[in-house]
This record gives sequence, structure tokens and C-alpha cells, in this order.
Amino acid sequence: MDEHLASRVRDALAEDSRLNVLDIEVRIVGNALHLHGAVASRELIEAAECVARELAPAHTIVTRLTVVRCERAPDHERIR
Amino acid sequence: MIRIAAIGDVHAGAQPSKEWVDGCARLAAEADLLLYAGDLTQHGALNEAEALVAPLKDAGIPVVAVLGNHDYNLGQEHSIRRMMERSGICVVEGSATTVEVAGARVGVAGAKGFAGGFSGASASAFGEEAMKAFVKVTRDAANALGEALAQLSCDVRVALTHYSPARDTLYGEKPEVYPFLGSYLLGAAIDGCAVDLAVHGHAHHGTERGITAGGTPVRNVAMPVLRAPFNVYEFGD
Repeated sequence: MDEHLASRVRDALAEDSRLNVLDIEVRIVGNALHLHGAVASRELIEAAECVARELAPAHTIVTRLTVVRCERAPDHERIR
Repeated sequence: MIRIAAIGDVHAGAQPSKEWVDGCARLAAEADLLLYAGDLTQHGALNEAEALVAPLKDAGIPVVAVLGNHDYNLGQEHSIRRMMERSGICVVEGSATTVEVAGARVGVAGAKGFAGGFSGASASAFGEEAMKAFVKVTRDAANALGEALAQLSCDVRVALTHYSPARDTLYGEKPEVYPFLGSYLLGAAIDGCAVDLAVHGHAHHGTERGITAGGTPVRNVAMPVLRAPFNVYEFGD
């Protein structure tokens, strides 16, 4: 079942000590396993691909992960 | 004017991003106080927390923080807290502190908080012992937060949590995960104590601005939401 495999990969992305990322979205479309989301570093993207490949060796891993940017200037808001 | 900077969920690995570290250099020029809303680390390791704290130590303004769920992952939360406190950061967990800012007293009460959900879709202490234990963690955190808020005597009262006290600031997350992102019990504790501002992190795909059911302003300052090194919330003239 694709849905069960996607859930297992998502659990592994949260629990594997190489990642500990809780909010990567995993979808399986045909023979491709897609990873979507934003993580804190390039190393985490590589680790996510590695974990997905280990759990779904028969699938093509398609990575749509990005690194969280901190590119905006601080916003100042008046509360009261 | 009182200027309160806030950020959370930087999730430093071995090294926080250069963009964030460079941004921290502007803290003293733009704010009088920094609130850190938890998740210093990615994996929960002390060395990650040390890497994140380094630029905060040099920020030149007081820092008040809570830990987040990632900071508990390896069971090193006590070491992380001690290291932060040795570095001059005040960690509030079911406790409060008051900081003098621009001639006014800013009171900050904090707790990591926990999950449980919001009105209409929240966990109840019923059935299995595991379920009762789950809900007890949230109730204990909310009670501790409420007691800490109530003891504050200050001009501006702020609640600092990692988990969200309101549903509003989760908008953008999948509704299915709302119960894992916060609890209405935190919001109820906040609404009972005339809080001027509630700050939290944890919800990376959420929205910055919201209010509790009782009308308290809530700001989700998770870095993936702000995409800035911090934002600043201002009070007074």
C-alpha cells in the first residue's frame, strides 16, 4: 500500500537521528516517492533522500525540499 | 517605548545559518529584550544548543527562553538548560521573570506547553492510562503557566510557550496536525491573566498573527514563518 509506505517514510524522517524532521510531506505517485517541505540545512535534505531511499528502494526519490531562509529584515509591529 | 524581539525554531545543527547569526548582530539596535520560543536544536544535542546560544550571548540584550520538543529528544534538556543559564539566558518553565526595559517592567512567564488540540477537537483524560497521562502533561503545563503568569507584577505581561495557545496561528498547517501543535488549555491559562502578548513557535507552516479565544494577541515566531532573524513587538510611546 502506497499510503502505508508514505507513512512509514514520514515516521522515519521524524525518528531517524540523521534528521529528526517532523514536517516533511511524503507522497507516492506511481513509482516515484516525492519529498516536499523546508528544512534547516542542506545536510538534512541529503539525509532525507538517504532515509527515503533505504525504505523505498524500488521507488525513484523526487526531492522538492528547500532550506529555510532567513532573508527578511525584522518587522516591527506596534501591539499597544 | 518597549521593544520585544522574538524568534523560535532556528533548529541549529552543528552551526546555525550565517543569515541568522548576522541578523542577531542587529538585536541590540532594534530591541530591548529577546524572547526565544524553543527548539534551539534539530536533534536535541547540547553542542547544537551551544552553537545557537553563542550569538545570543553576544547580543547585548536580556534573553528569556523556553525549550522546545526537539530540545528534549536526546534527554539532554537539563544540560541544555544549565548551559543556557550559565550563558546568562533566563529559561522559564512554569516560572516567570521580570525585566526592566525603558523604565518599565516587562514580565515574562513561560512553559514549553504540550499538545492536545483546540475547541471541538481536543483530547480528554478518559479511557486508557496512556491517554490520561497525555492530557495530564498538557494540563500540568497550562496550570504551571497560569500560576507563573498570576505571580507577575509588571507593566507589560507576556506569555512565552513553544506549543501554540491558539488555533489562529496554525493556519497554513494541515488541520489533521493541529492537536499536535498546541492546546486550548494554554490559551485558557493566558486569557485568565490579562496577558498583553503571547508568543510561541513550533508551527513551521502556520501564520504569524492571531488571537486567543479571549482576545489576547498571539504571535507565532517560528523562523520558518517569519523568515527573519527575529521580529519586534512594541509597547508604549
